[in-house]
Amino acid sequence: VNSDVLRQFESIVGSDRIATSATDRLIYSVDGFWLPQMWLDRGGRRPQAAAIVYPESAADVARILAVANDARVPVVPWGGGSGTQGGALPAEGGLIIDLKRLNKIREINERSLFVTAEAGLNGTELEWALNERGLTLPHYPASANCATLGGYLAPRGSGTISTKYGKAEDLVMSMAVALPNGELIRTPSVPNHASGPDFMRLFLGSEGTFGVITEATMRVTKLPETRLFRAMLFADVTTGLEAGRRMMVDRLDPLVIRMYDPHSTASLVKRVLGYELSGAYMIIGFDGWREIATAQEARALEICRELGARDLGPEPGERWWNHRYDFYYPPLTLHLPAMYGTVETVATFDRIEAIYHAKKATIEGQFGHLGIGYIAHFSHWFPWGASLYDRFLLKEAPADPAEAEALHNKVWDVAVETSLAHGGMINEHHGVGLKLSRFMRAQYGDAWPLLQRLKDAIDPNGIMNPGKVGFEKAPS
Amino acid sequence: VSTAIATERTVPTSENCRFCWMCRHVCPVGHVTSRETLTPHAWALTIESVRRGQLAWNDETASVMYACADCGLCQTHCVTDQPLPDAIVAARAEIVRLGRAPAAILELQRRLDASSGKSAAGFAKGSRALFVGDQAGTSSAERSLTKSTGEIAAALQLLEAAGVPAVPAGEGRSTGLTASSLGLVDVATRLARDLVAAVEASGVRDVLVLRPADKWTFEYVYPKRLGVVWPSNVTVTEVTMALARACNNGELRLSRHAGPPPAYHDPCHSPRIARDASAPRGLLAAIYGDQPAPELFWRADRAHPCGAVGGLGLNHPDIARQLTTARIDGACSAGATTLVTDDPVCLAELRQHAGARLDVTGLYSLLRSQLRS
Repeated sequence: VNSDVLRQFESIVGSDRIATSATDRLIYSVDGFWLPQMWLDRGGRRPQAAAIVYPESAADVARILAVANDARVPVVPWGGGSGTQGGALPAEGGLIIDLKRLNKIREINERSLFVTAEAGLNGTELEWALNERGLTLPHYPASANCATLGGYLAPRGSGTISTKYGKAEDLVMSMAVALPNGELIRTPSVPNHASGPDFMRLFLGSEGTFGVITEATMRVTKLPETRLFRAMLFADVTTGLEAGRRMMVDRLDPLVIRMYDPHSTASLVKRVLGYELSGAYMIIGFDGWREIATAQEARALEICRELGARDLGPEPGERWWNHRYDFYYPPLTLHLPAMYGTVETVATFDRIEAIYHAKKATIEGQFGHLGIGYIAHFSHWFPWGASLYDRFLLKEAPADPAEAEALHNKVWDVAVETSLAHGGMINEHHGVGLKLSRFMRAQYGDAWPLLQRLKDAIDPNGIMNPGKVGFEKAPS
Repeated sequence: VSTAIATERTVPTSENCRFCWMCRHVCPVGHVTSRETLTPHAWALTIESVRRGQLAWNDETASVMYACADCGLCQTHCVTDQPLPDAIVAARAEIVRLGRAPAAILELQRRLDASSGKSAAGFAKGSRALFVGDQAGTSSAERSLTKSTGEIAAALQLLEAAGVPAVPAGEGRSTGLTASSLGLVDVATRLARDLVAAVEASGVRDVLVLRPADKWTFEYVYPKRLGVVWPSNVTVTEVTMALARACNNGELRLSRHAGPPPAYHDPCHSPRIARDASAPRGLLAAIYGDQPAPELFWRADRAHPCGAVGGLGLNHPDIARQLTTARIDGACSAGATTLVTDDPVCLAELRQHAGARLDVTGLYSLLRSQLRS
């Protein structure tokens, strides 16, 4: 990025809103992705942006993109920087647009139950503001404390209670997006219309490769009268999965179904929640009006009993709810020098169990001799299937960073290829980013060229987050 | 980081926090600057990057490290209680040791060294003292911390009326908190030892403090950061808590105040001492009745500090001003016309920047005006 272009950015945001120091560039060279963290940990460097800008308005974002487009400067949108897929990394240098100054709540509409806010607003801050009105945005990702509203949407994130309320993409009503040519567009005000194609969805999951989300209107809901939680213990994954399937196809509307496989039950549940159990530990939850939630829970308990589950009562369920984010605080969370990856997937009920067994067998079979283990839980459920949130874990990564990277990528290859081979998607909610970019063509097959043509039409110079979501074209 | 206070406690902390973002939502500096580099995880990552030779302590990295307000919200909201502020302070101590601290910090160090050995007000003999103190003159607000605010006199009168009379003590004496926050370990330790010695010599058993910051300093900073033990037979109580207790017991009688209730600013460091946020609000309710009071968004256990915190004004006056302005803006957007606080330092800081938009009033003056004879 030459000095003339930097001056143009500076003229848009002001001289105090552009950073080029070594410290800034290092801080923005790492996100929640294990690989850059490992490289930094071992003293290596990853690609860095030439500059970081801090616009205060959507109009400024659009102007920045226009300049970058003219100068063929790669642009990476940055929200919370906590994504695990490397989606916010400046893989090809260029410019990072930190959106956190776009943090205003425009409107909380208590009659129609929606909130309109800028994309850089912190998730928990938004939630606290809604809670003060007796409302909630029912998207509770573990990253809420660090992620932004735009970061919820760009990778199509899920939250803890998505089983009832849907993913972030199901809660969005409309968005404003800055395009790489400097245009600022707004999608229709409501999503459920029949006035042409729903092009808003093009930007959901695009992770900044089509444009920068600058504002969103999200459905909100009233805080429930009650939330009921219960813990069950199943003999194995098979019976637990069947219980969850029946709750979903019988439309019991559970808030959450979270089932840990026996290995996770013995390790994670013990370490974080303190329960020493053998089997598949499941949390179920229901919310809303007390009479309805109680009836739904009673029916779910019947299903669990019919499948031989042991009812552990409400206390362990409530304990999980109250400590559901504890898993993500160090040193409880996975961290270096361990090597790990969340190789999660989603599939229909008729396939998901086979995927679990295949991935467990393959990862443990191919890498078990190296000490790599496999743990899993099933955490986001749909009327047609469920998400398998599974991880590989090695207590200590190889000392040589190149060797560690090669092993890390090899395990990922095997895990994702196994998911694909058994009818799973490469991902349910963490997004694609840099990490899974190489699998997109295999995932989409014949449909991939169409997606690439859409990308080329919207971003002909390939400046938007190059190297991510399978779009590898770099600025010429 | 090889300082006396970079212990087995602080090094794992910066290791743990460098790739953790779970407290970002409460960081006031991150909030007003919107810069990733000025957030808890980035401070930890900067420390660890220096340890790994990817960055060095220089003007740039020192400036980054001195942007933390040492308000404690990150640790307060950390499920695993990582003492990141202590790790940051330890890194600052290393920066000071290397002579790479910002000029304003080194100037403060020279000033405090020069005042070494000069007499400071002691503690009069007696069983209960109201610690007045001074905060080393690190900001214009702190320099104006004198009886001119009237808050100390008001507090003494209220304590008398509540049946817990106290004598003022330690006037002009710094607790060492600001010096500690800024990494001036030797100076902070000397100030702490002197103060503890004065307390022990006086025979005082109950020390009342005007600021949550003082309570936190005596009970946490001294033992954990400076290795100075506060006397175990001396209790530390906030004046506000003593008054709230007396009010609840009917020992402090207050008359009703006409007009709308004010908003309340929880003083700097309130969250980190797990302060009962309902106590000052209860005192206000005692004079304003049940009218709903406007509330700042960043309040109680998530209370953001004003710009008087942590000596921030010395090296980053722009950030300090933004923090103060954010509190004032928060009160105005909540619909308040008056903002009340009990910490005299916060009071001076907020008054200095409120202008005509907001009336900033001391809690003790306000309560005294409603004392029933």
